[in-house]
Amino acid sequence: MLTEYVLGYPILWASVLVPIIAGFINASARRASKATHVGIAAGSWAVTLALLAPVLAKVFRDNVVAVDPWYARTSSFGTLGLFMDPISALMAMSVAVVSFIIALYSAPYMEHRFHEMGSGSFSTYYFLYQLFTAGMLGAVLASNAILFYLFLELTLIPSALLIVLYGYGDRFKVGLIYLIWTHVGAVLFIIGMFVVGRFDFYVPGTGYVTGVSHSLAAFLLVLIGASVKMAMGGLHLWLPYAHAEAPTPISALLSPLLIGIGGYVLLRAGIGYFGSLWSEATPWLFLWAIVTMLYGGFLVLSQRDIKRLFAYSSISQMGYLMLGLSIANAEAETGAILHYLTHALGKALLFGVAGVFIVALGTRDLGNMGGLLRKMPYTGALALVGFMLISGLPPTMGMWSELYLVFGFSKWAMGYGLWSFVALTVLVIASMTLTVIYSFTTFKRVFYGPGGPVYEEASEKPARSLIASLLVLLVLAIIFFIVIGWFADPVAQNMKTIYALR
Amino acid sequence: MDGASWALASVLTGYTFSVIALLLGAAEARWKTVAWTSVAGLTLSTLFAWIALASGESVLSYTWVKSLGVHFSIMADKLSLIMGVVVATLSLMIGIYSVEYIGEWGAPRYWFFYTFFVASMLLLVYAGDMVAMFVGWEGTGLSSWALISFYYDDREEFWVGDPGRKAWKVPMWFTPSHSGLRAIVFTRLGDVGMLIGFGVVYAVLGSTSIAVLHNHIYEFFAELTLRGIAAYWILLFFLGALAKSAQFPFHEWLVTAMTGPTSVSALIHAATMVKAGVFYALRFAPIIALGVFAPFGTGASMLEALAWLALLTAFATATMAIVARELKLILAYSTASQLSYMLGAIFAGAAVNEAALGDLGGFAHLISHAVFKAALFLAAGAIIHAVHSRFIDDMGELKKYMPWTYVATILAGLSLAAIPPFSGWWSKDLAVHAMGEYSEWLAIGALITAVLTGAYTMRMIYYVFHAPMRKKHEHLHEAHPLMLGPYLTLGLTALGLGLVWPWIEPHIAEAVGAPELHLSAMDMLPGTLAAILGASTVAIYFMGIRPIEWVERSASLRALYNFLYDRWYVNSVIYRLIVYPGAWLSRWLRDSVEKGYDELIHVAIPGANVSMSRKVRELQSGDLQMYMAYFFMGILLAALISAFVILFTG
Repeated sequence: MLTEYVLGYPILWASVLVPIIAGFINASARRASKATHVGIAAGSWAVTLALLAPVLAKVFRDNVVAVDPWYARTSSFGTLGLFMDPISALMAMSVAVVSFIIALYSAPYMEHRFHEMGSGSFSTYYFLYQLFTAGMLGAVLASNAILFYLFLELTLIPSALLIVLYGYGDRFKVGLIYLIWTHVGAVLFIIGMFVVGRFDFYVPGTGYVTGVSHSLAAFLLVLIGASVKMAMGGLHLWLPYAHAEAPTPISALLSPLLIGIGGYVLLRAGIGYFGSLWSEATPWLFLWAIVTMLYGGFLVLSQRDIKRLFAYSSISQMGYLMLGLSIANAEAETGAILHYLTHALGKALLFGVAGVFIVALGTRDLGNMGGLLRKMPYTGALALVGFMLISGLPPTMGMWSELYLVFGFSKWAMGYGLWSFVALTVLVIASMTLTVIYSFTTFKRVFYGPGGPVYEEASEKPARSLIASLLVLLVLAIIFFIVIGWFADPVAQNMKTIYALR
Repeated sequence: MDGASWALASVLTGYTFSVIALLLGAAEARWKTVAWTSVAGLTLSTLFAWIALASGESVLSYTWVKSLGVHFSIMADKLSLIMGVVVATLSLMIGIYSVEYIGEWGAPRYWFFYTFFVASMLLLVYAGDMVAMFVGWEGTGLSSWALISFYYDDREEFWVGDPGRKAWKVPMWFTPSHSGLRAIVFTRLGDVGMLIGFGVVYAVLGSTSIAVLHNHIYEFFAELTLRGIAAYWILLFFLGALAKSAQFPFHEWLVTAMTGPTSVSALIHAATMVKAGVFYALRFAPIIALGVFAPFGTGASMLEALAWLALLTAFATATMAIVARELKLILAYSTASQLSYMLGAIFAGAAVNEAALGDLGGFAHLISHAVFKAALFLAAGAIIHAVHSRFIDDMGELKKYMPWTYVATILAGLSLAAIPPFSGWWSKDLAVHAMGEYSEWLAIGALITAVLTGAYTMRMIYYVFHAPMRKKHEHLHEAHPLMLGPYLTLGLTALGLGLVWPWIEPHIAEAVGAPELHLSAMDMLPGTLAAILGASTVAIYFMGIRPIEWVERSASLRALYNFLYDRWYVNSVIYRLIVYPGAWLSRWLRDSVEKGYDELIHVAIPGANVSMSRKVRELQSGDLQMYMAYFFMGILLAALISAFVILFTG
């Protein structure tokens, strides 16, 4: 059991509320300039980061559970509150950091988008942006499934509206598809929790709630519901639409941050609540993970639209998360959570790069690109690091999440005799190599070879401020590689103590 | 400071200067500034590596990730210290050559990846922990990718293969960007296997330290044997090394890697990075042999299989070199072939529990090959630069125009052909001897390959320097002194090493823990004869005989020639079996599965709903009583569900 540490002030609530309040300020200041809006939004995330920093430090260093003093005990829904153990700390850190940087990135990008559309309002954009991102932070800090669900719904409406208002293509239809699919996912999840009848992940003063249900129906509802959110293979159809057609900064949040939360909740509610059923399902979930990795990866290879391409890559990456979750030992689970951070940084970078192309080249079509490295060296560096993250190459933190996943896999798979081990290793080698194949093939198509149609006109100048904000992510990817032990060790320790994983 | 600290200093210096090169590039510094700053960094790195060697063995270790038992540790033992010196010194010499050779175009990118490579390679060598080693390992792979595709605009002068040539309808020419992709995919495939192998070590021992594996190797192998996976684990564990060191069929990436600048081919794809797999085998084969031959050990059969695989690679690539027309391609085939001598020796030695002996052959040949192959590549770079063609039949009579290059090539070439008293002669005999410890047939295969080696080396030298010049070239002249200096020095070193070999060998033996081995004249005789036999085939060229003319006349010889020229069709098989079906699968999934599924869910089912909703609309009659009835039915339903939930799930 971990030591509980009740915070003296409601810092966690404050960290969620500050961006929300900022969002309302954005909404009411309709006449304010672009700089004011981005200042309010990014500033609120800076405040949140500053608020969270001491708690994060405490949680990681001392391996404790920080509990927000504002919680409500209810008779039928358990205890509604916010908490932070090393696992949710890593999630919260990912959400806050990426939300902060993308808030900065949004300003120049949306200016371009508004110009393109002929209208648009920073006030509305940042209002929705703030609700969306704060909802994600709330979801990963929630100690209770009801509260988690409410925060998840808070993310849903604003993000769907952002697609409808500022998206591309048939954006109304895409927004609707996104709304219906993921709403159904969330509802299935919460129905599953109602069938169980318990909602708490963590109860202040009592501790974690684990192993409370053997109901197959509830298990399937929770699993399917969360998997829709994650866009696992077969339930993924909404994702290529939503992530490709959303305004690009929103893609950079939807793809890495939001869908991975489905994986996170499978840890809390899936493994946490249904421990024994989960172990029985392990081989099936593992295969599902492999299928998702391969299916998503193969579809990446034949895309022409760079945003759609990255969207399929996200599906494949969710396979990585499920791979770790399915195996259910401490190393693999840690790998899944670390991979959330890896993917957050990597996919934010890659969608950010897609945005650079949209602004600087006016195209998303790979057929128009080629040879761009000469004209866009910084963009090339950003894309390379993004691909290195998802391919697991050092010196980016992607190496560590892949290492944890693979080590967890080895530990699990070597126990089933020679031929199963051979078959399983072949599957893992194939699906992980596929990520490298599509990453570096895409890099080649965009940046190498003779110049494509847009080559002559290409320049990084119009997208300088976009590039500057993305460089922060690049540096973080390398810093996390070096200091990973600070985060990974407490998370791994937690997996062992909370979920009795070996 | 002790050896490990200096070794660490050498690594960190490399990384620091790679960052500096990057920043200089970003600041738009002059290319010469970037180049010479990097060379200064390489000089420091080399200096530290030598001081480390002089300071002696020691270990440094910092905890990195406790939950995986990963340490950032430096293990400075004789093996890594000598290897480090070889790597750093060659990097420096080739770095000096690069200044002129690379020039301005892409200079910051080149020097960033070059210094990043050197630092990663040194980390790989000095690491005392598998994960720390892996970091260096992947760093070298990334640099290799970037530098193979250095000329990323795919200009034709840097292609490999004959434009337009196809084998089984698979194109047999390769652009720099394509070759880079091949390199990273092939090697990464092996690396995932290797990582799974590390995972097994971690799962059993809870650590990734090399020393821990060494100290607990009996328990480790007992566990593997119990689970029946010992042999398979050995394969996984070495899969990365096989890929990196170009073992069949992974050799494919190495031969097309010749699209990179020649300095890169010399350093990364001949002298150092491709040796990473060999070094890895030097490090681990003796440890694994301990486990394999422990009371509960199994898995020797896999070591034997790997030794045979090495022979296959050595022989196959040597036969390809016999017919190749591109200067760098000949050298690349030769590299794959010589790497296989090293691995063959190491695995064969380990397979008969004589790991130290195998390591002696492997390490000796690694060092001598690094020197002479680097010389050959650097000279080749100067030659190709001078004649503006990569094909040897465009060359000829260069002896007249580039006499010093000729001298350097002869010195290094004789070493490759294993002619006494050059260093290659000593080291190859040690390697063949180790193979013979396991199986005479293996040694005989190696000797046959040695004949081929002598033959292709001499053929290459003949075509480049002696054959009548077919194409007139303007302004043929000797290479720039900054380029000539390094390879002439290396050529002379190949001879010098051979002359003082008896004094060097004890150090190599000590580094791998082998007893001093005195091969008798009788032991040396077969290898010497094979080399001389192979080299003497050059006589037929001087007699005016052109074997290529026989090929033109005979259909069966032509088939054989094509078989060799198209690399035993291995490339075609890989593309026909994996690459093209993969691409087809991708398109099929997109156009059939994904599209069909999408239409089913997003068009057909909503369509059905629309027609259903029309029926529902008919219920909306505007009749208030009907609405009330619906309303109460709905309330009743909700109440029933609530009651159910409260009664049965509470």
